Amino acid sequence: MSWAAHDLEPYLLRAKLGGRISLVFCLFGSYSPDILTKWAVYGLGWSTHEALLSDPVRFHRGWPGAGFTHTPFYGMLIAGVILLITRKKLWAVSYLIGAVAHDLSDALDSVGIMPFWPISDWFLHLDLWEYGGEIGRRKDAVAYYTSLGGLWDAFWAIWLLRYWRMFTVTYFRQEIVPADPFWGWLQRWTSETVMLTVYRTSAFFGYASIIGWYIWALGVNQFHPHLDWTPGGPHWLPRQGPPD
Amino acid sequence: MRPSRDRVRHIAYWLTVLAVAVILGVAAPQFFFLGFWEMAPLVFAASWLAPKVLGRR
Repeated sequence: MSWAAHDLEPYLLRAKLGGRISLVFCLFGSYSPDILTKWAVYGLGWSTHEALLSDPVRFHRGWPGAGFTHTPFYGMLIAGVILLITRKKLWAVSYLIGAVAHDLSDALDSVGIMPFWPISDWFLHLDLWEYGGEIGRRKDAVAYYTSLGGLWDAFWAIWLLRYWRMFTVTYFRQEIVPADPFWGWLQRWTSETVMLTVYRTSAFFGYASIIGWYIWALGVNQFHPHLDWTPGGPHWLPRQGPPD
Repeated sequence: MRPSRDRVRHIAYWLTVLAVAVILGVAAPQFFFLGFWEMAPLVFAASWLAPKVLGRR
């Protein structure tokens, strides 16, 4: 699975595609596959890991299970519902692009996703880093940020730095608000500070968490505090492929 | 000259806010690094304070 990449990818897509993307709906699409499932996959607790599921990998990515949430079909289904309810193609397409970006990022780990579901339950998994959802949040944070997964997050963060102007108030007023009716709607209910918070928070979280997780994983945490940038790493983690 | 000084002040301000977020997160990742919503109060406070600290938006 990916961590901060899901927070940052929508901003890059907005920077590249301009007004053809609603950032908020792209973020919604990017978060959507994990919204209802990830807490159960990780289980409870931080220092101690209390599993909630007997087979969290199947639940997260497989079928039967909630793995359908990580398929383009699910993205299209929810995008269709958004189009039906709102009649706004911008919002539906943005949601779909965000959801597919999430799927593609998750296809890079060792479990992967089912790109052709429901026609086929074949898994696309490129094995760049080991999936670690079943070991709990704390150990997965170590596994992810010491593997190529952490570099995947850093790649998006560094690329997004080129577009730093998009986080200024001027850019928000001149480019973001006029291009997406969502902001006009939100403006009726709240202040510009709240709107800026909605607009900036995911990117800010992305940067803070990438820097912070690296410091924590390598400098504070005592559990395997070493980088392993070989494909399929970290290799202390038991091999976890797609569910049978 | 003035625009570049303003830019430096803005960058310094947001880097300071980012440093605060990183320190909080490293100290207690379970409260600050598990989801974007955990950063919303800090981003709100920083966005609200920015025009007061920096003088203009």
